[in-house]
Amino acid sequence: MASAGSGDEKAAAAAMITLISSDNEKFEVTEATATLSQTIRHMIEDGCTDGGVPLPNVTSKILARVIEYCKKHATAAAGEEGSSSSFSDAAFLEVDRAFLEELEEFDDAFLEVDRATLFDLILAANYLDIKGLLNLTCQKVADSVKGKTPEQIREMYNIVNDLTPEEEAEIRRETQWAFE
Amino acid sequence: MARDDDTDSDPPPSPWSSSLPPKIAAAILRRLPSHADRVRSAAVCRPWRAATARLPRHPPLPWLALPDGTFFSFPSPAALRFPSAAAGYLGSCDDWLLFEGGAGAGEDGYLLANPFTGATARLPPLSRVRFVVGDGGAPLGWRGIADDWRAPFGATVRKLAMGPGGRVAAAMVGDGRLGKIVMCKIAGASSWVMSGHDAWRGITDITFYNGTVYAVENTGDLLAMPTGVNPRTGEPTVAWARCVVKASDHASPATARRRSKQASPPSTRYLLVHGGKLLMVHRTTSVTGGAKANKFAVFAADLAAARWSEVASVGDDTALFVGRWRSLARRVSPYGMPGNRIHFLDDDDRCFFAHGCRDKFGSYDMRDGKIYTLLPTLELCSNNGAAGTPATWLFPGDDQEVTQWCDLPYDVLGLVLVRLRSREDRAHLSEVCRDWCASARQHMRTSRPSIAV
Repeated sequence: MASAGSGDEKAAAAAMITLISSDNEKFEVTEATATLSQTIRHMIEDGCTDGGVPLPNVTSKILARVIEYCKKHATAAAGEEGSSSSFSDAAFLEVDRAFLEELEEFDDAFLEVDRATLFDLILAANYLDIKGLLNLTCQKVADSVKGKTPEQIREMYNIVNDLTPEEEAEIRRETQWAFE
Repeated sequence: MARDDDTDSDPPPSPWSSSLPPKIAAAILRRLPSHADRVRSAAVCRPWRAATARLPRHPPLPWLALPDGTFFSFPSPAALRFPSAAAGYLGSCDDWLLFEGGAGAGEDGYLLANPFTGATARLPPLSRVRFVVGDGGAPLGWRGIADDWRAPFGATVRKLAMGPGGRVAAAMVGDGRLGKIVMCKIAGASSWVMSGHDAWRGITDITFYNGTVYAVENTGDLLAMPTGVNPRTGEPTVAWARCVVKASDHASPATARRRSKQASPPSTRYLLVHGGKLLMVHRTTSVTGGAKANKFAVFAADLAAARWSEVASVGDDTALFVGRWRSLARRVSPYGMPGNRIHFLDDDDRCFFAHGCRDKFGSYDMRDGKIYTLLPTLELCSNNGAAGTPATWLFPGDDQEVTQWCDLPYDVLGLVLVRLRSREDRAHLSEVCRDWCASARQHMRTSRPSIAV
């Protein structure tokens, strides 16, 4: 968290943006953090962020998590830019590697959430158009269904089998192996 | 929001099914490279099924069959079993497994069984071969392969290649050292046909390319056998195989070595078609640092110039899957897999490559010449003493390809529709499938009715 803090200080002079969650909670973030979201970036470019950016599709609980992700990754992006000019190549690579490792650890820990939160994070990442977060969360779901049968996947995600018996019979006829 | 009074009713529908935007569902499913995972996810519920249908369609990645009846849907390390018996196969061809032995006891034909669909087809035994003498000559009555006095002892089918349209097949028969091409039709064949006067040669692989059967010799020479279908009988026709590419020393280190009286290392050659070209993959072993390692070189046939030209890269988006029974190129970039690789198997029943080699299975990177593990967490183990049934690739077809035209975007169908003058043609187009009907109706509503011609 120390690096995230210093990132904040560095950017403190920069413009701050206020994000307003669906339950009316306000979050102050730097522009660098907020513009990881393409949706917000466009709003800023259009100059319609005065008085805060209302995000009616995102709850405060989820928005807090999304901001946590954006802060970390915005710092990472800033760190990369800074290091490329001030370090020798070897040192840069070393810093870069450590940084990526740290980021990966952060991402892994970040994804340690229940399935309901994961779902809301995906929707928020989609709505806010945060490519990295969308990639991360979709990959998490994809990894979780690998090697599972349809029934196991339904159980895991609490999905009701809404295929008609005819449809299911047809699928089974074509790919019986998939159900074993 | 939770209501206490409805705890005993059905649980609310999961947001993962109904409220997942189709775009997101597709984004998740796109991250599943293995064919098995995609098919299974598509069977979870309707929204997921619909999302799968929205994915851009690419030929699926292959499967790997092991002699004990276990399957792996590459690159997933999860072992799968099929309801039908799949152990003890002889080899494979596309998405078919080939078994030795006919239907009843004492029969000695071949059986093709498709583990994905359960379909089967029978192929005649090698005791029924019709020898064709001269180009275009009529086949003689059938005899056994052993009646050819030059045939090697214990000749069996060592490779099967499905012809275009899946109506005829070409097989390489032999003992692993000498081989010859035989052909038969897939449905209802009672015998194979073979060009009688051709010599038995050291061919290591065959493939169909532009309606011709090509065979590669262990020297690197490429032979071509024109084929066709007899319109009266539906039987494939055979002809003399001509040498169309004479291997230079460059493409054939073995020939060079023989001339310089060096022992040649074990090597084999695979044929496959990629990007409209006929490719040969030359696999050999070399000793580096006290251990044997696989080496690969890829050549493209330049038939006009009658020579092989070496290919440095097969493309960053493509991987080759080579095996004694079936070799194929697949685009792997849509699945997020590294390209420019050759995935190979320990598939030689004479243990050329298995003997003293560290890397029996692997993934050869054409950029750095290094070998990576094929399936990350899995120690593949073929043979286990059972000779003659090594691991093999299976290539399921793109079974959804037939429905692809149904998904023609609305606007595109409109463009087709406005080019149809007659009302009748438009009506026919709209009756093709449900999606076309919906699109056509929309367009017809917005465009003025045409004058019937």
